[in-house]
Amino acid sequence: MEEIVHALGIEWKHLLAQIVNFGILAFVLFKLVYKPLLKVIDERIEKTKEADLKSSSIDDKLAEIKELEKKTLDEARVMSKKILADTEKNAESLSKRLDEEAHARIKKLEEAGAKKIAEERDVFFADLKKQAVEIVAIALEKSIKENLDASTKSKITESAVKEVEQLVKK
Amino acid sequence: MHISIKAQPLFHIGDFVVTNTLFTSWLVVLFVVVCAFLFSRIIKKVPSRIQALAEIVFEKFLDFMEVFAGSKALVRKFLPIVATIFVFVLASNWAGTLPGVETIGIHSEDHGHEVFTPLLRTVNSDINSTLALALIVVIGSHIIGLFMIGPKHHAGKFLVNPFKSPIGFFVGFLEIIGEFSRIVSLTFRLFGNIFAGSVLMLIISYLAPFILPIPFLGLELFVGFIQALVFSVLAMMFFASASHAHTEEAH
Repeated sequence: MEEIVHALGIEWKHLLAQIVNFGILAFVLFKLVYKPLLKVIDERIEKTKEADLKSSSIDDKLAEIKELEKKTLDEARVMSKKILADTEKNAESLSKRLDEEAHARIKKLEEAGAKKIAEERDVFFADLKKQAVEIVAIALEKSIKENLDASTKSKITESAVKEVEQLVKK
Repeated sequence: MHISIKAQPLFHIGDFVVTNTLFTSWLVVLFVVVCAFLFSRIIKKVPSRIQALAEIVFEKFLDFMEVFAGSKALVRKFLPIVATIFVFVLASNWAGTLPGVETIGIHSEDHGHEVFTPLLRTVNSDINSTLALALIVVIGSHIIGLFMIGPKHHAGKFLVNPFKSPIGFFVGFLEIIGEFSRIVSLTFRLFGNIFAGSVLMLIISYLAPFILPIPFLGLELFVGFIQALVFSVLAMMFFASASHAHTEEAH
C-alpha cells in the first residue's frame, strides 16, 4: 500500500494544501459570485411573481368589469323590453280608450243629429200642415165662394178648420 | 521526453515542498478569485451583458443539477461545493491547454540524467489534487448525511444488525466498500483522463509541434469540460443521496 502511495506521489501535506486551496476558492466564490447572483435571480423571480400577480389581478378586474358590463347590458335589455312591452300595453289601452271615446262621441253626435232631425222634421211637418190647412182653406174658400151660400160656407169652413185643427193636433 | 506520474518539486517554503501542480493550482485559484472579484463589482439589478450571460449559465447549471438532486432546495444547499468543484476542475483542465504549461521549465541533472521540470503542470494530472477533491466529496457527503438525516439514520445505512437483517448487514458492508470505491473512482477517473490527455498532448507536440496538436487541443478542452461536469454531477448525486434516509428507515 505504502509503495503504491509513494509511486503515485500521494502526500498528505499536498492533499491538505489542495483541500485548503479548494476551501478558499469555495468561500470566495460563494461570497463574491453565488450569493449575489442567487440574490439577484431571487429578486428577479420575486418581481416576476409580483408582476404575474398584478397582471392576474388586472385580468380579474377586467373580467369583473366585463361581467359588470354584461350584467348592465342585460339589465338594460330587460328594462328596454319591459318599457317596450309597457308602452305597447299603454298604447293599446290608450287606443282602446280613444276608440271607445270616439265611439261614444259618434254615438252622442248621432243621437244629437237624430234628435235635431226629428225636431226639424216636426217643425217641417208643422209648417207643412199649416200650409196644407191654409191651402185647403183657400181652396175650400174659393170653391165655396163659387158654389155655396154664406151660411153653408161658414159651416163648412168651420168644420174644415176644426178637422184641420184635429189633424194638426194629431 | 520525460513523463512523470508524480508532480515535480519546484521550491520549498520551510519544510513544505511546492510542486508544479500545486503552484499551478494556486495560480488557477488566484485567477478565479480575481475574476470573481471583478465580476462581483459589476453585479447590478439591471444586468450588463457579462452578468446576463453569467446569470444564464448559472441558472442553466442550477436547472441541470436539479435533475440529479431532485429539488431546487437541495441544489441551492450544495451549490457552493458542487459549483466550485465544476469551476475549479474546469479552470484547472483548461489551464492545462494554455501555451507554456508543461513546456516551460527548468533543466537539471539527477544522477547523471538530464531532468526537465515544468514550471506549470495540469493540476489534475497530479493525484493529490483529484484525491483531495474526491475526499472533499465523500467526506462532505457523510457530513451532510450526519447533519441532515441524523447520526442514527446515517450510520444505519452502513451498520445493520446481522441478527435482525442479514441481507441488510451485507448491503451495509457493500455500502462501506462502495464509499471507498467512490473515492478511488472519483480520483482515478479525473486523474486518468487528464493525465492521459497531457501525455497525449506531450507526445503529439513532440512528434509534430505545429498544426497537428490543434484538434487534440480541442479534444482536451472538451474532455476537460466533460470531466468537470461529471465530477460535479457525481458530487451532487452523492450529496443528494446522503441527504435522504433509506426508504425503510424513512418510514
